[in-house]
Amino acid sequence: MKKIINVLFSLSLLAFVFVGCESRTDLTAPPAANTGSADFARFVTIGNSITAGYQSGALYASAQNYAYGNLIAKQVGTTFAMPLYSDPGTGGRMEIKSANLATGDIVITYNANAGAALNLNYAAPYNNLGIPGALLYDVVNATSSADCGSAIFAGKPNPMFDLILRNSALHIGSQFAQTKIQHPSVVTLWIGNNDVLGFATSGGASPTAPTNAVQFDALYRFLADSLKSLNAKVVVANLPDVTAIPFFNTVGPTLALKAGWTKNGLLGLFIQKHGAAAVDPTAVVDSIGLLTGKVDLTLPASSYTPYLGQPTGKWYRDVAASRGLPLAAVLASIAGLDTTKPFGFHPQNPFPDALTLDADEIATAKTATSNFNKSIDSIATNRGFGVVNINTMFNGIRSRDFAGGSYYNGMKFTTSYITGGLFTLDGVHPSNQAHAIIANEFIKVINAKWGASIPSVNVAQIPGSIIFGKRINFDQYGIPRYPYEALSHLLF
Amino acid sequence: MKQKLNTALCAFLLLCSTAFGSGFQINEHGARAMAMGGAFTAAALDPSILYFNNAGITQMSSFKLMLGTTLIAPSSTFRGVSPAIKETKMESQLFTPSHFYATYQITDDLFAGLGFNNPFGLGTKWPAAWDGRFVSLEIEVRTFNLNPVIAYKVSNNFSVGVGLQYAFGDVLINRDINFPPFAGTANVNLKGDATSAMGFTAGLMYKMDCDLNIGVSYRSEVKYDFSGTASTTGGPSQLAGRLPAGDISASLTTPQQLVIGASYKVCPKTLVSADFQWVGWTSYDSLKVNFTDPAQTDLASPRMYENSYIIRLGANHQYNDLLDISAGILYDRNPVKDQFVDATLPDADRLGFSLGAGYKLMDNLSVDAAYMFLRFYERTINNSMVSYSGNAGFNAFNGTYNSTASLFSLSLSYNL
Repeated sequence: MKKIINVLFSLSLLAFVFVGCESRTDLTAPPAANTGSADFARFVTIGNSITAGYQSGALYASAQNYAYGNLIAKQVGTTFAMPLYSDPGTGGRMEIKSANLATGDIVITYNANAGAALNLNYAAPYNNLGIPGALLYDVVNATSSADCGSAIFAGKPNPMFDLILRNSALHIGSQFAQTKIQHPSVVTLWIGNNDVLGFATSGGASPTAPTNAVQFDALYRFLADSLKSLNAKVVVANLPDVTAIPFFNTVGPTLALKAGWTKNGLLGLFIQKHGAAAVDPTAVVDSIGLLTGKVDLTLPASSYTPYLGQPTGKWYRDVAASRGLPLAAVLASIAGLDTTKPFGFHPQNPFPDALTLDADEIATAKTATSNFNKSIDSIATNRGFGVVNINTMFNGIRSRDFAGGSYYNGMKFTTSYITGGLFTLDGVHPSNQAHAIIANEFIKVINAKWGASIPSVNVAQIPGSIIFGKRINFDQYGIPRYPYEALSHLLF
Repeated sequence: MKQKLNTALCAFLLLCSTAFGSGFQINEHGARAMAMGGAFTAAALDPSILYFNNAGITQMSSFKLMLGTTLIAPSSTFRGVSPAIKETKMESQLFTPSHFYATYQITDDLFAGLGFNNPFGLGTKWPAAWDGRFVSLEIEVRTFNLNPVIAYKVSNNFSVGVGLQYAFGDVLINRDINFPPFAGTANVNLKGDATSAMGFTAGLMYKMDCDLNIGVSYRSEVKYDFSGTASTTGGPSQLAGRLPAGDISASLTTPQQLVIGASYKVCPKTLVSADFQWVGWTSYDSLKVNFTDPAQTDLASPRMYENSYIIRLGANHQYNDLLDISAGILYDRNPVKDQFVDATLPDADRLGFSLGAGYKLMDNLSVDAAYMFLRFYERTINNSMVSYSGNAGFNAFNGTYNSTASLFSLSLSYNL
C-alpha cells in the first residue's frame, strides 16, 4: 500500500515541477502597423493651432500630446518631436470655474499662470510644425513673430512663430523650409482655417474680410508645388464650415430660448451691421433668426448679454479703454447711437458688430470657405496628394446633432459647446477626443491611398481634456460667464 | 478555558483576512484536509471534519480543539488589452483565512461542536495607473462564519448532523472613474459591512464496513446584506454633486454546496479518499450597489456565474505512531463565463497539488502542516462584456490571464 502513497507523492512532486516552472506567456506581440507604400520614418505635420494641439485658448503639453499628428505617429510607431510647453501652457488657458451639468450652467475662468517651454533645445526642427495663428501665407513666408502675416497685415506680432520655428537658433526659415530640411517621407498639411476664421471670430471687424479667394488659390498652388518637390507622401485636409462651430452657435440660440421675447414685448435683437456707419432700425433679428443662426453671436458676446435692455454704453467704454481712444471718438463712429436707450433692444443702442456675425458676414465666411475648399481639393488632387474631407465629416456630425448624436468607439459626440465633447472651452479648438477622430480621418485616407492598414485610434481610450480650474479669478457680480479677457488673446 | 476561547476568537478576528478559491470560495479549512486535496468529507481524521461534514464529529471522542490558519499567496498577471500583450502583475498580497473547531461528546451518541471559518473571500489589487483602472483597482470581500453544530449517532454505522451558519462580512471595492469630455479622473471607494446573515449546514456519515466511509455534506446559501458608504476622492470639485458618494447597500448570496465523498482504508495505516463537490454558483447573478440617494446612479454589473464542481483525491498514511503524511490532487472547475471574467477576479479552471504532514508533539497535542500549489489554466478572453474605458463608451477588456497560488496551512489540535 505504501506504493500508492509513493505514487501519489511522486506525482504531486512531478506536477509541482511541471506546472510550476512552465512559462505560459507564449502570446505574440501584434505586428507593427502596415503603412503600405507610405514610409513614416520622417513624418511632419504642418498647420495652425489645430495641428499644434492648441486647446482652450493655450498651447500646453497635456493637450499637445493628443494633437492628431502625434496620435498618428503613435499608431505607426514613429518619432514625433513637438514644441511642448508645460501646463498650464502659454498663458490664459480657459478652465471651468463651476459646472452644473444638470442645468448646463457652466462658468468659465482663465488660468493667469503660464508654464515653460520644455523642448526648446531640440536640435532639429520639430515634427509638429503647427503654429497657432498661422495663415496660409505664413507657411512659406513667415520665419518669426516680426514677419508673420498678422505682424505685416495687422501690426500684431505672433510670438508662437519664435517659439516653434526658433530661427534665432536654427536659422532654417519658414514652416515649409523646416519641413524640407527634414527630408520628410510623409507630410500632412491642414492650413487655411485662419484665412476665414480671423474675419469671422472678430465679427468681421479684424480683418474686415477673409483672404481673397484668388490670392488663396495662388498661395495654395505655390505651397502645393513646393511640397510636391519633396517627393514625400502628402495628405492635406480641407476646411470645415467655420460658422458651424460653438464659438458662433452657443450664445445666439441660448438667448433666443431664454430672453422671453414675446412676453417682454420685444421685436428682437437690434444689431449693428458690418461696416455700417450709422444705426439701422431695420437691422433686427428675431428669436427664430437667432435660434436658426440667421445671425450668429460670438462667444465673447456672452460678456455683454447680461446688459441687454439696460441703458448702457459699456461696450464702447471697454473698446475705448482697450484701444486707448477717447470715449467720445468711439461713440461718434456710429451715427445715431444713443447709449441711454435699452442695449440691444432699441435700434439706437444696437448689439455691437464685433460680437455678431450678421447674415452678410455669415455668407461671406461660407463663400470663402467653399472657395478655399475648391482650391484645396483640386490643387491637392492634381498633385496626387491625399485629401481629408474634414468639411464633409464635420457637416455629418452637425447634421446628426439633433438626431441622436455621432458615436465613435461607443462615445457620443455633438457639436454642442463643452458638453458635445468635440470642442474645448474656446469654442473653436478640438478636444483630445476630436483630435482622435481627426487622426482617424487622416488614417482612413492614408490607408486607402497607399495600401496601408494603420489601425484607428480608439477614441474612448483618449482622456478628456476640458480642464477644471482651481482658482477663482473673478468676482460673482459682473456675471462675466465668459470673461472677455479670456478670449482676447486667442489664436487660431 | 473560556478565557482561552475568547482570546482565540479575538485573535481570529484580527488574523482572518481573505482569499481565493474558484469563484471566491475558500476550501482550505484545515492543514490535513488541505494536504489531502480537500477530500475530507468522508475522512473524519481531525476536528476540521466539522466544516467538511458535520456528521463526522461523531468520530471525535471526548473534547477536541483545533486552531489554524492558511496563508494564501496568489499571483496573477494580465496581458493586454488585446491586441497589446503588455503584462500587468497583480500586486502581491497574503491572505490568512483561519479556522477554529471545538467538538464535544455529550453522551455516547450525541455530539456538539462549534466551528469558525472564512468560507468565502476574495482579494485582488492592481497597480494604480494600470489599463484596467476603470474596471478594478482593488476589491476585497471577507466573510466570517460561526457554525454551531450537533450530530447524532443513529447507529454504529450511521450519523447525522445539522448546524447553523451565523455569518458576517465586509466588502471593499475601489476603482477609478472618468468624466469625458472633461479632463481628470477620480477614485471611488465603496465600503460595506454585513451582519447576521444566516444559513445552515447538514451532513450524513455512513460506515459501510470498517474500511469504507461514505459522507454527504450540505451547506446552504447565505445572503449577506451589506450596507456602507461610497466616497470619491480626486475628482473635480466642480462636479462634486455628481460624484458617487453617500450611503450604499448591496447584497451578496454565497452559493449552496453539496459534497459527496468516500474514504477507504486500503490498509490499516493508509486511507484514500475522494470527493465530488458541487457548488451552486448561479446564486451570484449580478453585483449591484444601490445608493440611498436617488440622484446617484446605482451600479450593476452582471456576473451570471454558472454552477461548478471540484473533484478531489487524497491519501493519508500513518508513517509511525508520531508521524502521518498526506498528499492530494484536485481539479476545480471555475464558475465564471468567459465574457464576465475581469480583473476583479481573474478566475480559471485549476489544478491543485498538495502535500503535508502531521506530527504528535505530545500525547494530547499535534501539529499539521500542508502546502498546496494551484496552477490556473491560462485564460484568454476575447469576448469580454466588461468595458475598460469607464464612462467613455464600451471597450472590451480582452486579454490573457495567468494565475498561480501557493497555500501554506498550519493547524494545532488539542485533546482534552
